[in-house]
Amino acid sequence: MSIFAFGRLISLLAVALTMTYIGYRTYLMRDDPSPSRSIIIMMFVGAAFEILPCINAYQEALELPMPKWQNVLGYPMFSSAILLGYFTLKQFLNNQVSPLRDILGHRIFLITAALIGIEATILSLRQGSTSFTDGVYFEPSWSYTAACSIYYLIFVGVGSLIVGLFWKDLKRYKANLAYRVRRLVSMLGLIVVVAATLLGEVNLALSFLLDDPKLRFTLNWIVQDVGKTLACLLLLIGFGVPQSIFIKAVRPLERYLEHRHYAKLYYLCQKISPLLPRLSVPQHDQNIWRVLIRLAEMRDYLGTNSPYTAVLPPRAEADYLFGLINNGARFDKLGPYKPSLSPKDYYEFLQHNLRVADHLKQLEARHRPLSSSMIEDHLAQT
Amino acid sequence: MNHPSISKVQAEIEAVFGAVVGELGDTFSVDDLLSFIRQYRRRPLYFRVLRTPPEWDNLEWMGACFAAADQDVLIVCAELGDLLFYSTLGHESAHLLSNHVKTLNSTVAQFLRHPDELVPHLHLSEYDKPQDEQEFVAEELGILFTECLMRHACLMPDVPREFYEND
Repeated sequence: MSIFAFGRLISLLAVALTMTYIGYRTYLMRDDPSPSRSIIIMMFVGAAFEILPCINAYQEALELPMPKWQNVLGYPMFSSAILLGYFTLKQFLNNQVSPLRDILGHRIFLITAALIGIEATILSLRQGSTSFTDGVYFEPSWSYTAACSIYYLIFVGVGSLIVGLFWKDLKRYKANLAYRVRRLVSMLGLIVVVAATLLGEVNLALSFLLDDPKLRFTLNWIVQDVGKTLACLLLLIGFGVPQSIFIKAVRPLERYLEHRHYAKLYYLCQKISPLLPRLSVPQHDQNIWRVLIRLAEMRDYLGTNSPYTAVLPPRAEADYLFGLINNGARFDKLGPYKPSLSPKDYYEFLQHNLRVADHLKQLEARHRPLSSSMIEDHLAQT
Repeated sequence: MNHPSISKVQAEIEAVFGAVVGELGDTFSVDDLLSFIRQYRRRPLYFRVLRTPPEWDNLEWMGACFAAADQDVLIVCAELGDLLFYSTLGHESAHLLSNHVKTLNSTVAQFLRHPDELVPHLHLSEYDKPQDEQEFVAEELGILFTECLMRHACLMPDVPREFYEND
């Protein structure tokens, strides 16, 4: 088996596995009346639409004959899969089921469906079979160029929109690390799809301008074999791996981060504590929640004694704290101000404190008084 | 804390937390916890996120709980961030679950009409460190409950959760 056929077999298997997993999930939800069931079914149909194009690409690599109907259906089905994928993921990530009527009437659906219709019509009107995936095949005709260009354009356009959906979602749900990594992997898969199909579009243009078969073959190999295989594998990991496995895989990273966060937060607690004699530094038992809660209390307490009306940027807050610490400030009762030093959202709160701790450490390092040994070293050097 | 008997306190914490986790698991929502308190204490529970009443202007509070004649009451100060909200709720829930509250003669409606009369009877969440056994227990349980509540708050949204975790 050639390396091309092997890569395409991997893509086919990845799609088949993803489809099996989603199919299994759909089966598990057979008695579930929740509206999310329709989203999962849509996801299954989307994955099913990718099977035929993957079979076609594999058959092509093995140089097996392909009936015309299979050839004509393959590319529009692949384009439909990404269109279906957009609406499925939009609902999936936004945690909101849209009525079918809204999807069918959506501008993106109408435009893409029209483009898929044109693509299918051109392919069916052409004599013989057409290939956008074969590295050597190229035909400088309007029908080939239009169909191929539309095929890539749909992937670039709709793929970019899906990447946008993931990007927005990543900014919204940050606290769950396993879910975050999962979405990052899926988004990476889609970025590969967009980059590869964009390269495919460039390859088409270059075929017209230069008509260099070697260059066309290389670029096509990157698009169809490297890009597609990589994307399929990433999407398989992103969508097809059970959450329990993801959680286990991410746990070491989670523990490492928690350990680092604890050290920084405890340091910040130690620094703020002298300002607030009533609030002691918590027990040093590696319990990050204990430190976080005490830090939240300290910040609220300090906030009532600070005239700021909005959360300060971390650097400015570190400067403010550094000034208070060096001036030996003490606040032993609640002040008159409404506390506004802490971001309300938990994740923002955590990140804010970590940054403040970093800046405070830097400030301390910069203003640390020189020890006698350091002065001696300095004198010896000069 | 005034030298509480460590084993007794530890046993109390473990018993209450064990009862909660045994029923709700280690990830639960605010509603789950409140329902559990109702079931555990076999009394209705009045829960409210409250802006500080003008009568309490000089009071240092983040949350409070008490047992009125007709129902238990748990109130949490509005305007707290996520973390303080959950920790205060956890702390006050711990007081109720550990039965640290005495049953008063007045009803909730009577107390809410005169919030100043309520002050001497409240179990308040304040900024100070725990000073007695009861506060220590509530503090420790509050931290444990916060972890469970935050874990629930950080879960994936419903649709992805149903898809990935529905075995």
